Amino acid sequence: MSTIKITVNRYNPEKSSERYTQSYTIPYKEDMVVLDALNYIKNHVDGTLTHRWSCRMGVCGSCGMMINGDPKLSCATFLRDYYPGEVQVDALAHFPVIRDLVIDMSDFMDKLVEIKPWIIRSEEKPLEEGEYLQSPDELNLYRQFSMCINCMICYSACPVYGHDQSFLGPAAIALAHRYNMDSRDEGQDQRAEIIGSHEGIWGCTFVGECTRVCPKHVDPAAAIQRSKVQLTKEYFLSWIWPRGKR
Amino acid sequence: MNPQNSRPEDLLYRPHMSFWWWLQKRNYFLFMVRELSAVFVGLFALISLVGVYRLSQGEDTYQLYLSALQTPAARVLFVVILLFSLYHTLTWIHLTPMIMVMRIGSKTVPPILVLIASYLAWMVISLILFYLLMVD
Repeated sequence: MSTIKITVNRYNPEKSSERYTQSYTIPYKEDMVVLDALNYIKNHVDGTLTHRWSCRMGVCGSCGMMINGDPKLSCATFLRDYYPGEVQVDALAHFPVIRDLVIDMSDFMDKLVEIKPWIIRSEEKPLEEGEYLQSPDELNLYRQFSMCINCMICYSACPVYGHDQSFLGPAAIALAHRYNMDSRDEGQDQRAEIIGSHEGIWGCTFVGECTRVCPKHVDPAAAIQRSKVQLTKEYFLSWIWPRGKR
Repeated sequence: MNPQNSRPEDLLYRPHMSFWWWLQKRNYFLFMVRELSAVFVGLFALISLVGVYRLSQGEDTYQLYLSALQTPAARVLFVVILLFSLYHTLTWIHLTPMIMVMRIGSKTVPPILVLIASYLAWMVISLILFYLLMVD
């Protein structure tokens, strides 16, 4: 039977304040993903191994981790891409680690709420007037950015966030852009305060790695640069043609 | 931070980024080269500004400035500046379609057309500058 070596960078604050690596050699099958390997270890070899997962099909965004140095969804990364070499697994980079492969996502959750990722109306229309209609063309303006599953893989790829955790980050800005581009939304001014701040879009140096690693092809780098263009145009336009008069 | 979300700080492991992070991935390295290329673009602008200043000081001073630019070391520097400037220009031109979304009516212009238009604009502006500088 063929086997594969999985090395996990572990952390257990009850034992030590330092991290340590532990290797496991487990049975290998061609159709196994990294998450299957971790579940095998958890169920058959070492029950203390701690990792997050839920859907196993690239939808929930829970199982993101560093796999041989790259941030990936472990449910969508096949062992065969590394076999017969070993697979090194680590917690998502740049986030505080709670235990083994489980990171503290509270910073991201706070930022997500800050950008108000919901449709904001200056005045809600009465229910009896029906839905807010939208054409396919209007939908296509933001559809790509609505595919985000909040897996935080883009944050792990972002050196700006790695250096300074006050940076709002790729996914939060991409989602702000998603709602700003929605024809039903009227909350651009409210979001502009957050994304237009120093910790928002202007912190981004356009490394572009967020876009390359996104498992859902969201392209946060484009969202950030387009937001820069939009806010700059808005700034100059506000001098010659204030928003209230438009 | 929302206090409901916070965890005991002494139980968390906080990773630190290596100083050499930009050597860990090819894309990070290429990004740093793109950032560095701006220094060489700036250097060329600075050398040109010095030229204008020298010109204002009279013909003799300007001739000295011109001969300083003819030395082998200056020629090597200009080749390096040219290479970095080309890298700077080409990388940014290739990022343009990602940033600029052109809409005509309700349709979005294909990104490849934005790229072609950027190249054309670059060439036209370069030709105009070449004409202004060389034809006299």
